[in-house]
Amino acid sequence: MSEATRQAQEADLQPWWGESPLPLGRLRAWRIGPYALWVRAEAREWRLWSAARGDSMAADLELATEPAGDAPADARLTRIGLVSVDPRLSLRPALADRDVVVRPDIPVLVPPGARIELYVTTPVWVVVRAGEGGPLLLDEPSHRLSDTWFGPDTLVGELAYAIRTASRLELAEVPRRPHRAITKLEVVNDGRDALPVDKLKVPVTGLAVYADASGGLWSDAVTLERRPQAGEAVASVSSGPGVNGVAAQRVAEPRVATGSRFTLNAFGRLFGA
Amino acid sequence: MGWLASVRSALHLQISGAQLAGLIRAGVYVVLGIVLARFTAAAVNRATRQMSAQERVLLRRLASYLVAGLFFASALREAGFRFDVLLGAAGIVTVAVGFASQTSASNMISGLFLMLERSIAIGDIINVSGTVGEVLSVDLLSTRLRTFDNLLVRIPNQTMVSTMITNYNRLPIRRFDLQVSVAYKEDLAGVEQALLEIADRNPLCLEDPAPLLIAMGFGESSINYQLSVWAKRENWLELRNRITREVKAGFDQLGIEIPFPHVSLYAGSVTDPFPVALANPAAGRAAAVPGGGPTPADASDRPQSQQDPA
Repeated sequence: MSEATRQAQEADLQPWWGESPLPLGRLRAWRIGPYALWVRAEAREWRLWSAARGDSMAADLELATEPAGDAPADARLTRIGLVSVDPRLSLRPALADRDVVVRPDIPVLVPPGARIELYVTTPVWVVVRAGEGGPLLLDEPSHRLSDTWFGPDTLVGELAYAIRTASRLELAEVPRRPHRAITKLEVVNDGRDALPVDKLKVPVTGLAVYADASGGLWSDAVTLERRPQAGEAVASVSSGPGVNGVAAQRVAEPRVATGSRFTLNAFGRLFGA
Repeated sequence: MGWLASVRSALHLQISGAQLAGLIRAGVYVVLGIVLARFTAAAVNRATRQMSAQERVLLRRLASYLVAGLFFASALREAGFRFDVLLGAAGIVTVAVGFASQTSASNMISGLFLMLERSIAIGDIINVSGTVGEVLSVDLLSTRLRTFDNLLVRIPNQTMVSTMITNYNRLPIRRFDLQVSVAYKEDLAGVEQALLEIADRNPLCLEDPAPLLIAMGFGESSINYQLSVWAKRENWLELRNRITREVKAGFDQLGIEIPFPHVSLYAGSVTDPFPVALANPAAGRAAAVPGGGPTPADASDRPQSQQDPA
């Protein structure tokens, strides 16, 4: 990806999260990548319509616009009843509600004793509340990911989301989208043989979300370390995006509160071996 | 104690005051036992919230039966029953009861095995000899199911232990096998690619275990495939409905024929197959209504396969 393309993508970004007032009885629309949202606050209820629009890499961004007509008929309607509605709407990004299994299109081989840095992007969930800290109205993915099973067999394992990615080794190659957060993955191979990175689990439920100055989203950086002992691996989380030159502000907490070094378990549970 | 004398005379009972007082105490014990057993059951229910429904029910019943049993035994003693006599007669009673309740005892022991084995739990969807339903309870003598058409089925525990049970809820992911048939004329590589792409596009279909496509062989009217896709257990039914719809829509879009069963008439290796053609649809419709029989001209237009072999 050329520098000009990257700059153009960054120029199109802007923060879509935060709180905004909403006139009672008036419909407002948001478009965050492929995710479309329409909201109307009534005296005693919230009405929210959501739908998928365009492909998963759409970069559209429209904030609180006033649509000409009603929400489209194919949009999914959610009604939330409240005794009284305070017409303030808060949007926040959050990472996926299950861990994500990343499959590089072309597996990367990490020699013994070496480390690599991968950059993957995952779609964020749009968390809608009635004002900051108010009742939760909606928590939906900006793009529906495919389900997958991560485990040695169909008896042992866990459900996760699947992403096929280019798993870029250069940050400059990573496309910027308003609905995707970049996660820096550092893979360390302290094993005795080469480590093929053809499938690895990113523990996104334990990662916070950050925003940089241009409105791009990031997550905490993750290090996946293969230990010299056979069958052992450890995942650790560094606070912040972990990229030099990126000044990011924390905009959402992890879904699951964990320590910074929260997984020490079987190698297969991180690398899918 | 004048009121006791009044009660005795009113009931014309030949019992002493001490006996009557004992009976009253026994009654109090029974009532107290029932109340305390219920209270104990509620307390155990609250204390075991972290356990499974099955374990909670088991513990709740054990605790309440124990409390009720102790109070009932005390009530019997207060009522004047002598346990040494009961115990003396127990041998004879045991033999008599044993003969009379072989089935019940077998069911009770089977119920204990079922509870210990934990192959089913309350809330599971199971299939027992073709009966599919949700487990409502595993009692001492029987297991109760609620079928999807809301019928209550009571299955003796002895049957549950000796028959094959399929539990649909025990494992988190499930496979659906879709049988797909395509016409002999189709390009099979294209068909296989289309099926795998349809599975790939459906987000409910698990990426891992990967969708599996098996060529089942040459059928009478079609080439048969099995598309096996995995889904999260809760999404299984939705995936089943969606993937069927998507395969049909995908095949329609690509012009891939899903053939009906058909038969080709063929006279042998030395002749060509009989040509079949609808020569005059309007005449065919006329022939179908009363009084609209075929004319000699229609008969000459009939396909060769419908004419006399001579």
